[in-house]
Amino acid sequence: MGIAAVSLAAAAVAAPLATSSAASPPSASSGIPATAAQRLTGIVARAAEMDGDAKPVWIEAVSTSRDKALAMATPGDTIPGSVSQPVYLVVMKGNFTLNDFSTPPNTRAPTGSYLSLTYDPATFLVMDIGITNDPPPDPLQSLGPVSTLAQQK
Amino acid sequence: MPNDGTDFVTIELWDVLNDGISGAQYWTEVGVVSGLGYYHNWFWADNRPNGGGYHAHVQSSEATGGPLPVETTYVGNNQWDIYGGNSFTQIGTSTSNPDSGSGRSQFGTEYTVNPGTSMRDLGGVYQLEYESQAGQWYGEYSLAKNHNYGTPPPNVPWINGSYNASGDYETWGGIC
Repeated sequence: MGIAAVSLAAAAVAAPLATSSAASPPSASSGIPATAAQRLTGIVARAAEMDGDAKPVWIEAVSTSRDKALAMATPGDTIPGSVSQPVYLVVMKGNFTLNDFSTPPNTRAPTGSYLSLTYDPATFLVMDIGITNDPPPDPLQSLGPVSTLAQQK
Repeated sequence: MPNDGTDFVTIELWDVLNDGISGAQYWTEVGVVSGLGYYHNWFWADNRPNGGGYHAHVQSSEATGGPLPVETTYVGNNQWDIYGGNSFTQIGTSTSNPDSGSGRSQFGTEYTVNPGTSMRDLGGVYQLEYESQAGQWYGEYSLAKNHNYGTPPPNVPWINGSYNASGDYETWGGIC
């Protein structure tokens, strides 16, 4: 069966949206502002810990557009309208198990050596997640100035 | 649900490429997620073979109104088109993701909170349908059945679902 459809109707009580950042959204290909990089560092460190590796080998970030970030983080997936959406793309190398997002019932959590996340620069909420054993197809430097958020010595 | 930044609840459709009962290998999914900082946000995800990996995408838009249709459609050439959103438009495309021809559709809710956290999860999925290779849509009806996953500890609230075969819908509700 390759095709399915359904109508959803639900009321689930959940957390409110995270508070917005005072920082202005960056333009694609500009560097990540220092204040945003500092905030990202804390956020992604927690994400890495939640996903099984509190000390990734490295964590790098770049400011870009969502479509270019998808080509790096989730190659093969496309989203309408992503060309005009600015994001912070974060890529980290380590040993990850994605424990905090949806998978089908009774399915083992996805694992991989590279965890990629895109963040909304205004809210710092995750927009996209990718986890694979392969590195991004191109160096992050091809998208703009890269910020190193963590580096194990 | 608790605002702990680690738990979530979804209402969604999974289209998996194997029988799916004992766990999916590869799939597409689309629905609405709350928790993790989101509140009724549209999302879709896929897990692809050949090293493709797992990917998830969250929209900034909040699901409103309803019932809200969703659809994952294999369109050939290893591509799936994902439909959802408040206006039922294409919200994503998954490529390098072959169809097995023997997959299974799953519809329902997923939540990660532990019992005793007072999360409420009320909802349902209606008009469950699949499309034949000839392009004809059919209701699931007696083809579908209810499955309650997870192992509830004794004497704690647990949210189970119920499938109505004649009406072709699944509903659930409760506090966990």
